[in-house]
Amino acid sequence: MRRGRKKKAWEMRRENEMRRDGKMSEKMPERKRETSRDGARYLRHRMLAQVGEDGQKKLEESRVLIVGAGGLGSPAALYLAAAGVGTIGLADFDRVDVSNLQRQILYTELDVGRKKTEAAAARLRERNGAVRVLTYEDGLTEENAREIIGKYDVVIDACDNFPTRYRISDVCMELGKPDVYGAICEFMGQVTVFAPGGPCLRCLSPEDPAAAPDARAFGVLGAVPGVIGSLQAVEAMKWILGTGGSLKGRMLFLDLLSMRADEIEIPVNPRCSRHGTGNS
Amino acid sequence: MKLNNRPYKDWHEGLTIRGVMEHMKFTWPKLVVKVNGTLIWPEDYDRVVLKEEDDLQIIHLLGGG
Repeated sequence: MRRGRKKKAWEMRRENEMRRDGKMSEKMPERKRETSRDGARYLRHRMLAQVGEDGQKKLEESRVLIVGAGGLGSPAALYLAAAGVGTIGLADFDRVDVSNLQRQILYTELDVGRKKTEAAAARLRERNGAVRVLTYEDGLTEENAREIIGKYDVVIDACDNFPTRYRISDVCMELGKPDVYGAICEFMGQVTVFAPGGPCLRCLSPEDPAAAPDARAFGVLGAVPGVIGSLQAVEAMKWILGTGGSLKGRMLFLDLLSMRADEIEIPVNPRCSRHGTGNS
Repeated sequence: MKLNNRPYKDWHEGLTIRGVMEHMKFTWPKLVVKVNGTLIWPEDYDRVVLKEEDDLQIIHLLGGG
């Protein structure tokens, strides 16, 4: 607390409640919520020629769905909320586990056991009260995928399993939405954008349930999904702004152990079941 | 022949993509394979015979999040 300022009644009441709930230490300083939406908040965005007033308005009017509120989804959601993206959808069926905290920076120790969508939505609303956060606590299923994805401009694939990744890619192709794909394992990460007119996940690799690595069987350095999820947020924002060189048609590879980057071109594959005549 | 942008010294007549995978001990279940820029499907790993001037890329497709 600033010296000389007397706490207001509601502040005292809130602190007492937080102490009672174990959510606040005795030494925790008071916080003043900054809700102003004047020009200062997005000043550094507006200073960019590629964003400006019009671009910031585009971000504020945009809708981004994040599938998976884990290692990748955490930084992606935080940066999109900070950027003022108007509506953020979060689809995840999971609850916060203590083993998530090493990399899933949306959550704190107090969130363990809570639904990820609920804890994440609270965190994003704290970060930017102007952002509308919608949650889908069943995750993205075969039943709800079309209805949910249909409501968004951009989808960020931040999930951890191939069946969901193929579902996202298929529905995005069907509905003409960009799918910003990110994936990680150990020290490695990959990012690409599957979008109308370009290849999809089935162009890159046919679906084979027998050849689907289980991500949970591998370690990951906590900051690696931070890097990749942030790149996904960048790609999503560039797509909304219509600026820069997209990763559509190419996949970026980062090996953060050797600190080397590489990329491959992904052609539209005539053997892909969505784009050609092949069966995948 | 090149493998992932590096010279592959163990090329021989009749070498297939599967042969390279076994020799180099690729065990990741989901790989993306390109020969001279063309994507190759898993069912063709045994069939595609590599030429000495071929450029082979084998990439792990990650799924973790």
